[in-house]
Amino acid sequence: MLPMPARHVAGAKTFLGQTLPAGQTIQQDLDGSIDIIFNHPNVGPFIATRLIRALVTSNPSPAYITAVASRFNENGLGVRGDLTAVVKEILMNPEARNDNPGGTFGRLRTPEQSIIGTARAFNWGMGAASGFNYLLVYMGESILTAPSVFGHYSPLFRIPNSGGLFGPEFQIYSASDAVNRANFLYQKLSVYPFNPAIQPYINIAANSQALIDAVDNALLFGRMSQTLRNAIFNSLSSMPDNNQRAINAIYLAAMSGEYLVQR
Amino acid sequence: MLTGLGRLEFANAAVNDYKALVCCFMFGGNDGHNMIVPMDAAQYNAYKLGRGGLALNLNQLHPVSDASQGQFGFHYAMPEMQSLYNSGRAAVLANVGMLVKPTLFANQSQANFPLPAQLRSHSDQVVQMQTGQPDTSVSTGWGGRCVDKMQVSYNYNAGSNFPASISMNSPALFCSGATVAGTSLQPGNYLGQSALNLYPASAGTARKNAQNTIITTPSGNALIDAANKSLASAVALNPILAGAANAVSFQKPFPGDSLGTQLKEIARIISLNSQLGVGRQVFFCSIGMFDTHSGQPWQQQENQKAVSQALDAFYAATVQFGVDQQVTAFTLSDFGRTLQPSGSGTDHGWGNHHLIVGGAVNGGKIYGRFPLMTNYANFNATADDYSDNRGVMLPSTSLAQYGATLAQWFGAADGDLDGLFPVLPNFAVKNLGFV
Repeated sequence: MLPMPARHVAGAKTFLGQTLPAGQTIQQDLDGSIDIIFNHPNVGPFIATRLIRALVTSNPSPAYITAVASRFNENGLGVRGDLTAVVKEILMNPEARNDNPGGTFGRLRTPEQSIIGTARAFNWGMGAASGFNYLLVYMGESILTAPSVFGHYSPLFRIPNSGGLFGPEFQIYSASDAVNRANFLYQKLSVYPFNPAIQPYINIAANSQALIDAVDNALLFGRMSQTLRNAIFNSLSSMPDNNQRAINAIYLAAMSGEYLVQR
Repeated sequence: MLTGLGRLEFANAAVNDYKALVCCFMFGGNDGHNMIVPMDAAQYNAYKLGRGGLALNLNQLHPVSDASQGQFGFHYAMPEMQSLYNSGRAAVLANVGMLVKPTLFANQSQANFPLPAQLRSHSDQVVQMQTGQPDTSVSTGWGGRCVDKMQVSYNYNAGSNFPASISMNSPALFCSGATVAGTSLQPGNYLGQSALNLYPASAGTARKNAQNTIITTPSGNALIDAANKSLASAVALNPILAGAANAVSFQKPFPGDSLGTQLKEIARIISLNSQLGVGRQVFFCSIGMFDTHSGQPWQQQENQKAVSQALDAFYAATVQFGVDQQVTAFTLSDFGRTLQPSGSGTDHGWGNHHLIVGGAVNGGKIYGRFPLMTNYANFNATADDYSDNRGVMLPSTSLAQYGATLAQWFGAADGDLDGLFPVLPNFAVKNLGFV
C-alpha cells in the first residue's frame, strides 16, 4: 500500500461511530482507522468464529464463541487482541476437549491436513511438494496458491442438505475430490513390492485384532467405531497377503469419515 | 437405477424439462479487439492505425454483419463462429465487463464513485467474473447460485443424485453455490478407486463391500456422514461415468486439445440427463494462455482456433442429441486488453467481447454497444467508449446483466435476478435479450 497525498482529505472523519481528528497525516489516519476497527465489538466474535472453525469445529456453540471472544476482548491481564490467549482458549475450552462430542461437532480435514495427518500417523516421508502439488490441484488445494483471499474455500460454505450446518472444507470435497484423495493415499500405500513405512503393520497383519488396534491407535487414538472395526475385520480374510491386509485396514480407516472429520 | 449400461439410449433427451449453462473461461484475458473486428471503412482504418503491427488485414477476417452496428469480421481462426453467427446460433456481446453501476469516463477520477476492486488484476478478476460481484463480498459462484435457485425455489434435480454443478479438471468457484457444491470431473476419470482394483477379484469385492458399509452407515455425526456421502457419491457415479464412456459416439469430431476434450466430456454428461433425472445443470470448462503480452499473433491464432472449433463441435453434439435449444454455452475471460500494442503483445484491459452459442440464442447479432475505433483514434473521452488512451474498453454492459440474461433463460424469474447478482439493481436493463 502506498500513501497518496493527492487523495487524502485533511478534515475530521467519522467512521464506525468514532472520529478521527482533523489534520492528521495519512499514517496517523491509517493507524487510527485500524484502531477503530480493532476496537469494534464485532471483532472478537468474528475472529473467534473463524479461528474456531479453522482449528476445532465448524459449528461452535454460542457459549464457545462467547468464551473465545471474551478472551480476545480481554486476556485476563487487561490486554485486547492477545491471540495466544485466544488460541489457548480455543484449544482448551471444554467444548474442544469433550470426549463425547455431539452430533454436529468437528471439522473436515482439508486435503493437505488429511494427507499430512496420515503421513504422520504412519511415519512416512512425503518428498518434495513439487512432486505432488499437481495432485493437490485436482483436490482443490494447490499448495500456497489459494485462488482468493478467502483461501481455498469459502469460510461460509454450508454442507448441502444438512439443515444449514457450516462445513467450509466441504466446498472442496465433492465426489471427485474424495476419489482423488483416496487414490493419492492408495498410491502412497501400494508401493511395489511393499511400502517400508507400513512394515510394522504388515508384520502383525496376520492377527486381525492386533492390526486393527494398531491402525486405530495410529489414526483414531483408540476411538474407532464398532462399525468401522467390524467392516475392516470382515474384509481382512479375503485379502491375498499380509501386505494387502495391512493396506486394507489403513485405507478403509483413512478414507472413512471417522478419520477425515477431525474431532 | 440404470440397466443395460452397454447400450444407453439417446433418442430424445429432450423428454424432461432440462437446461444447461456451459461457461467456457479463457484464462489470461482474451484480446477481444482481434476476435471481432469492425470492417466498415472508417472504423477499420482507425483500428488498423491504433493496432499497428497487431492489426488483422481485411482479408484475414470472416465477415458478419449486425443490422444496426455495421460490418464486422471474426478472427481468421474462427470460421466456425462466422458460420454459427450467420445461422443465428451465435451472438456477440460487445464490451461487457465488471461494473458496480453504469460508468462514464469522467466517473473514473471521481473520489467516491464505485468502481470494481482491483481491475486488471488476474487473480481478482478471475474471481469476480465467477462470483459475478465486483468486490470480495461474495464467495459463491453465480453458476452455483443459479443451480441453488433452481433447486431450492423450483425443485429441480430433486430426484437425482448426479452432480448439478460440474467443473472440468479442477474445482471452479463458478460452480459453488450456497447449497450446491461443485463437482470437478476430469475427462477420462470415471471416479474409480485404484484400491478397489485388487487381485483376486474376491479381495476387491470384499474391500468394496467393507467400504460401502463404512460410508453408508449413519455415524451419529452429521459431518462424518457428509464426508462419507461424498465418497459414496463417487462410488455411485463410477459405473455411470464409465458406462457412458463408450456409449456415446459423436458425429462431428471434437478437437483433441484440452478444451475440446473438456467440452466433449460435458456433451457426454449432458446426453445422459434424462437417465439421471437432472433438470438444471451448469458446467465450467477452461483454456489458458490468453495473457498475450508478447507473441500475440501466433498465440491468439491458436487460442481462437481452439475456442471456435471446440464450441462448434459442442454445438453440433447438442444438435445430435436433440438438446441444442436446451444448452447455452458462453465465454468469459479475466478482462479484455489494450487496443494499443506493447511490443508484440497487448496489456491488460477491462471491457471485452464475448460469445454466446446455442440453439436458443437469438444469434446473428451484436448485443451491447460496440466501441467506435474512431473514438479511440481521436481519443474522445466524452464518448465513454474507452477507459484510457490505450484502447482499454470501458464496459457499456455489466457482467451482472450478462449473467442475469443467462440466468433468466435458465429459469430464474424476474424477481430472482437481483438476488443472484447483487449489483444488478444498478442497471436499468436486466435481460439483454440474446437468449
